[in-house]
Amino acid sequence: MKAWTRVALLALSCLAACNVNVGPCWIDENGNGAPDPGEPGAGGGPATPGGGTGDYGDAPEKKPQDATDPPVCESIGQYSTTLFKFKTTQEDDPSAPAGGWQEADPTLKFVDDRQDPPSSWTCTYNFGIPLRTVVRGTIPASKAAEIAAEVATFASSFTMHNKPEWIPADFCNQFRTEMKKLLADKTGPYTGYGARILP
Amino acid sequence: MKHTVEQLIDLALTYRAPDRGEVGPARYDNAEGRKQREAHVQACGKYREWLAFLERIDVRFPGRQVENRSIFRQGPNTSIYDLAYSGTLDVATRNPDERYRYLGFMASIVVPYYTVYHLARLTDNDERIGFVFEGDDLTVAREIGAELEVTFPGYVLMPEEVGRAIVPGVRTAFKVAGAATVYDCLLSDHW
Repeated sequence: MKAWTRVALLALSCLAACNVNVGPCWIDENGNGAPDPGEPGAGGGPATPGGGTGDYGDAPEKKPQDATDPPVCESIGQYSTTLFKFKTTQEDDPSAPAGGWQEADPTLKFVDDRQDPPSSWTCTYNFGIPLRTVVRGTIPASKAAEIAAEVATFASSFTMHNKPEWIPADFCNQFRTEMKKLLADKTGPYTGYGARILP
Repeated sequence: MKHTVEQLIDLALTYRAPDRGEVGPARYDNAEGRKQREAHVQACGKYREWLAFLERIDVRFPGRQVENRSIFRQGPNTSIYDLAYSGTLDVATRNPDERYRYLGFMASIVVPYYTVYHLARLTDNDERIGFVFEGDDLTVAREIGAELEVTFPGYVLMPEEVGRAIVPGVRTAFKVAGAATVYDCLLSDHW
């Protein structure tokens, strides 16, 4: 199994674990069945316990599920691409091997319901990515948003579960670092995009 | 060295504002942020020379991928992700616990120093960074250094003990206050 595949599977299992009993996806830590949604769970990560206020659009709405038919967890806590509104800050220079630059300044909301009461905070950062690279060719804003949302989703889960409790400023710093590691991984799916992160 | 460590720390503090907890663009709306932007705008004029440097490295070491980490420096209106021209050159792994390995290089846009380092991403996803080279890496690192000195006349290698000196009270994209170094503040913290 390739290293990146292992990382991705770890992240997905982490997403499932952090959403145990919090609602949108009923799946236990072994990946089986549907635990009682009324039981106390081990939440945390991008999903909000209340199903989201809609303020940031980053918390998927909870929907009651048939306990005999656990849903696929692919939508748990994934950040919406609509949160990443890329604007071109540098036009592409076709005479250069790679060119142009586009940026988004998302504010993402995090909720850690591993404590009672749950704590919540936001991280604001800048995500920059070229309009075109040698390896990836043209990178439209929609693709940039897709990458930014995926990276934020993976990194938030890694980061959240790295400590039992977080100070928000420390979390945001570690969150950015995890995103940078994902983007810089030369054997990962984001290699060749040349993305950069800024607080 | 053209500066003492203390002088470089003082210089770093003129480009990095103390951490006051601001987020977003407000973080850079200060004298330090404006100084970063001035340096960035001026450095954009050297982008073509930077591309030529990367091309020479690419030709000199065929079959190894060269990465340009300064594409944003092509124009003045982008955010400022660091204060260096930087890139990487893939090299062979040296240990079984390494997933991949590269030589990284950075030339500051605000002080006349550069650095060359090696970074290995390990199987447990940690990173191992070093500044002492052995074997083939030493030859490659020396050639990169020589090319940087041609591209950036007057630049010299920043010694590791200088680059690793802590710049107090500031944070960078990936370093908390108390952990940011001269390397991070005057070159880049994107290793």
